[in-house]
Amino acid sequence: MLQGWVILLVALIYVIMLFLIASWGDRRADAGRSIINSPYVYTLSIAVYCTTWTFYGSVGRAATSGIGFLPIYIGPTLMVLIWWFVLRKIIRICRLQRITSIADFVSSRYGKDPVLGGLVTVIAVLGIMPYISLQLKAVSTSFTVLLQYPEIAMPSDLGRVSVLGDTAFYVALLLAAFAILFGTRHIDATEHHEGMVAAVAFESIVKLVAFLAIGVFVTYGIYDGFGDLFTRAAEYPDLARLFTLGEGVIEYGEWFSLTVLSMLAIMFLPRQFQVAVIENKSEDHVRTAMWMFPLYLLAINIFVLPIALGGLMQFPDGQVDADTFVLALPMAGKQEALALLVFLGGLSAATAMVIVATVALSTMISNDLVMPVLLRIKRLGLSERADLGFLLLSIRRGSIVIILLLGYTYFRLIGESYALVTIGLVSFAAAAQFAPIILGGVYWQGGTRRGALAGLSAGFLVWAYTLVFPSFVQSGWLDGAYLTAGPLGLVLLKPYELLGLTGLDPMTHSLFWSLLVNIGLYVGVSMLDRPEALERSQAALFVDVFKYSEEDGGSRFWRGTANVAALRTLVARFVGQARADRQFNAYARSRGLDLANMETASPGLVTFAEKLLAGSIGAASARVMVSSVVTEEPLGIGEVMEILDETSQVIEYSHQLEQKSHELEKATAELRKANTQLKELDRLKDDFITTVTHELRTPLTSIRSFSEILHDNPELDDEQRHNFLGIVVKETERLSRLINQVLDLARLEAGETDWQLESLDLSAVLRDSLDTTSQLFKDRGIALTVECPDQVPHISADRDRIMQVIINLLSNAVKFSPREEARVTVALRPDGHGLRLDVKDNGPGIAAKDHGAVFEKFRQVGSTLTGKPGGSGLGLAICRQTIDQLGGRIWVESSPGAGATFSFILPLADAKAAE
Amino acid sequence: MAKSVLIADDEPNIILSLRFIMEQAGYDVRVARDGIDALNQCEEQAPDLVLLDVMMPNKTGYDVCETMRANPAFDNTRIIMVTAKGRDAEREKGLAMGADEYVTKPFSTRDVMSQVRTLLEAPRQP
Amino acid sequence: MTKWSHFRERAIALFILGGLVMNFPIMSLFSVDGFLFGIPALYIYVFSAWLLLIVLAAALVTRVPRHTVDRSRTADIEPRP
Repeated sequence: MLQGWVILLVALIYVIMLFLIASWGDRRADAGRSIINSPYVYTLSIAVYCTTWTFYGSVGRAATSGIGFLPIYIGPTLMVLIWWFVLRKIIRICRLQRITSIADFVSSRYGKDPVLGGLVTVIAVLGIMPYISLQLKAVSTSFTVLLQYPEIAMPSDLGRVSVLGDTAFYVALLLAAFAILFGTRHIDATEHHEGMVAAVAFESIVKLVAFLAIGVFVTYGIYDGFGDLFTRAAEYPDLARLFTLGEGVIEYGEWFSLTVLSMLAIMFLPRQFQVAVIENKSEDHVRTAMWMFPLYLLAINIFVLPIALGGLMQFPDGQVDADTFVLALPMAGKQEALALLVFLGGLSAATAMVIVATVALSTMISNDLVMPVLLRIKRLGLSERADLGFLLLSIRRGSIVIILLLGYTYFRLIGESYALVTIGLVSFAAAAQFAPIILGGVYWQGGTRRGALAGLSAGFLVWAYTLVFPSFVQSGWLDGAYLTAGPLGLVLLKPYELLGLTGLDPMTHSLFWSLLVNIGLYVGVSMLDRPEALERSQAALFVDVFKYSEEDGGSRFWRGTANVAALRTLVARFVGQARADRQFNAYARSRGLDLANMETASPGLVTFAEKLLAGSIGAASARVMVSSVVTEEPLGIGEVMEILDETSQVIEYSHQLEQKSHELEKATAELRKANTQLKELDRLKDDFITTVTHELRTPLTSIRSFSEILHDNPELDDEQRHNFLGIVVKETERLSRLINQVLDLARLEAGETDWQLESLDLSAVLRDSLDTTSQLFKDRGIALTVECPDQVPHISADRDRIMQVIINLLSNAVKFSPREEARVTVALRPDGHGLRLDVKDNGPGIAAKDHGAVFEKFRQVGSTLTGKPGGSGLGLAICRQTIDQLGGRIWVESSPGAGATFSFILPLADAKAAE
Repeated sequence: MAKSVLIADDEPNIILSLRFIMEQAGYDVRVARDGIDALNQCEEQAPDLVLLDVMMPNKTGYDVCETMRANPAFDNTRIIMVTAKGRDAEREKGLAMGADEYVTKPFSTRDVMSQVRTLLEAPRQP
Repeated sequence: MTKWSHFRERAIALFILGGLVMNFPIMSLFSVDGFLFGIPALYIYVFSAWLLLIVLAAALVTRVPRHTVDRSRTADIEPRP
């Protein structure tokens, strides 16, 4: 069933499906309803990190190094933990500066330098070539192996083929076609390729599913689960050692350096930069990617070692290349469908990688390599050409083809003699060269253009010398003596043992030296360098990106005059008239400008136009183009420094303002609280005064009225006259009593009492009080019971005041006694350290909620039966103040309908003296 | 027919003095001890004039005044508010409520008398 | 801003922890001949530690201080036709 045409057909159908997904993605993006605006799609697109290297190569590596295949996935797992800081910052910068590729990023950061951009592009292309060749190798090998079914033969067994008979060649051409179709259908001002991202995300799913399928098949199909598989493998000493680390499996140094290497690769491989940074739709997606991506990596790796062991056990004589185990195993098991699925998985992995990588690279080539050169060649008169969009696209398509052909060439020259993983690591090491200048560029304002140039070039050269050069030797293209004895016999320049550093594996060795010179020169030269104005301003914009708002983004570093119409025309030449108009109008609307009447463009508009252009032709070229239509007054370095200083001062100032306003808020809140309290007090005071005046005026009214009546009516009969005079007298008394009470209370509250404290026998005072009030009791017919010992321990108090309290309590009891069968009990007895007096009546009682209220000023608690009680309402308030100030306590126990007992306790004189 | 006067106040002595002078003047006097009582009595039979104390339990004089003025049955009833609150604001409030006159305590009996007489002799203007 | 610096501390701590746990010194502790359910100790350790790191990362990430997220859309101010 697995004949050549079947395989091809399946592959074709799959590719068509991908293409449909991609165009759907693009169409939806055009309609403004993006399908890739999801953190899950974002994460899956980042999973393009797993290529055929993961699919075939990991198993191959595991077969020789056990767990040693893993550090390449551990590295990203660790790196993502700090992505929220690092990646997000880079994404923010790219969005604000409209950066479209990794070369553009570097070029823009270091003063929009085209040379640096070109260098990065060249390094990227040369560095990724091995990676592309590895994809070609994997696809063609898997195709060839599958074709041999039911035999399991390796392509190397089939002998060398000519180019035209080489599957890999056709694969290369096909992949070029895919890449052109997916990634270069139009020039986008933002360089987003939503369709491509959608297709890549889909392919990540296919990869995972296929790999899990083969994993499950090996673990549970051929064997009985993990335990069974490992136990059997343990019986072979050769295999058992793969369970551990150390000698012959993988060394400490190698593990560590591979981890570090992959940490850098996950960010700085051009294809990773493309999907993770350029194609990112929302910073928030990074959050999900931070845990979901490592989860993907874990899932796709969990079966690698089992598959490797299974393969080693099934094909013990080493005839089958470990890289092909994932195919060979289902083939040996006659699982045709599974084998086809695996092939598709591998194909997915390869196409995803190639498409993204070539799109990224071709963008870089067109924007940062070719265009700057072309624009400078006056002869071509490109500055005058009306429509450059088509030119750009053509350049990109051409570069895609060239890249793939280069990849194929590398494959022919080198690919056969190396395992997949080894080839891939060479590309990782190339990508690592970008790390210092990018990470430095984002966190260190001191990194300069020359420093970057020095570091990058040096690192690249060391990389080439220690990794690429030897691979040519090992493949037989160069004399082996170069490796063993160094070029020209210079032992210290041995590519694998530079300066005599032995004991490291080639990868670690290369990484060490290349990064050393890279970082060393970058930092060293930068520190000695004096950057230009543009570099400084760009550096500030990058490193301080979180401080600058979208609006600023560089416009404050620009000064000059530009004509709006000229700008518009310029932009239109690259992105088309329609789009240019739309963008300009949108900008004008959002800023409230009237472009039709504007002659001169504001700095903001110029920056906007420049960024718009940068999206199509890169920052460096954009700058060149814009400067051709504006007369710029370049800012001197001094002015830039001033602006920077100013900015940092402004930022500092606004921080201070924030702080001050925060403190102000707190103070205001306090003030408000105090104000409310004061108003409350005021209100209380008002209430008091109002009530007092009312209470005073009431008896006054009676006095006046009756006095007038008596005066005006001399013929009143005696009885009436007697009555009225009596009222006058009584009300006068009432008035003066009230005045006295108010004064008493005021004095008590102010603490200005003129008490005569003496040691008293309260029982005597009680008896005196009872005498005074006895008439009240008799008049009302109240049965009075008194429980009072002849003598009680002395207390210290003012006699008159205490008597006033007792009399008050007694008259209250009278006032609130019922008409019939009224009973009042008065009891005096020692209580602990004090003396207690209780006055109990059987009146209407007081509800629990009013127990506190009765002691308040002017509060009179009465029921509807008694109507308004007589008295001023101040009596109990005075009692409370008096008792409190004597160091005692006064309270009431009562419930409605059950009478009330008013009690107070006063401390004994001894106790007080003891205090 | 004698004019009827309703005295609404919670202070017995004030009621006594006002009653005396009203009866002396020949008016028909009724007495209410609080706001609700006052309203009830008005419902039973609308008086020609009400001497209305403001500070009363259950319903204040203001409430009573407002209620009465909202009721067209009492359009012909005069209202004199009597109170210890003497501030201008209170007086304005009382008059705004619809009282015809506003008297502060302690009042002069002669003044009250003359006001009552004036109000009861003159026809009411709406 | 303490929420932010808390988050940053935790992220870096997790990063360092991960680096230690998934590297030689600690890993070689498990590089022994032990088996658990027939599965080699090292294998189990590596994948369990990995999974744990992922879970911790997920927990960490759900509590990102909100105000730092930039919600501005990319590039085009209006959708293309």
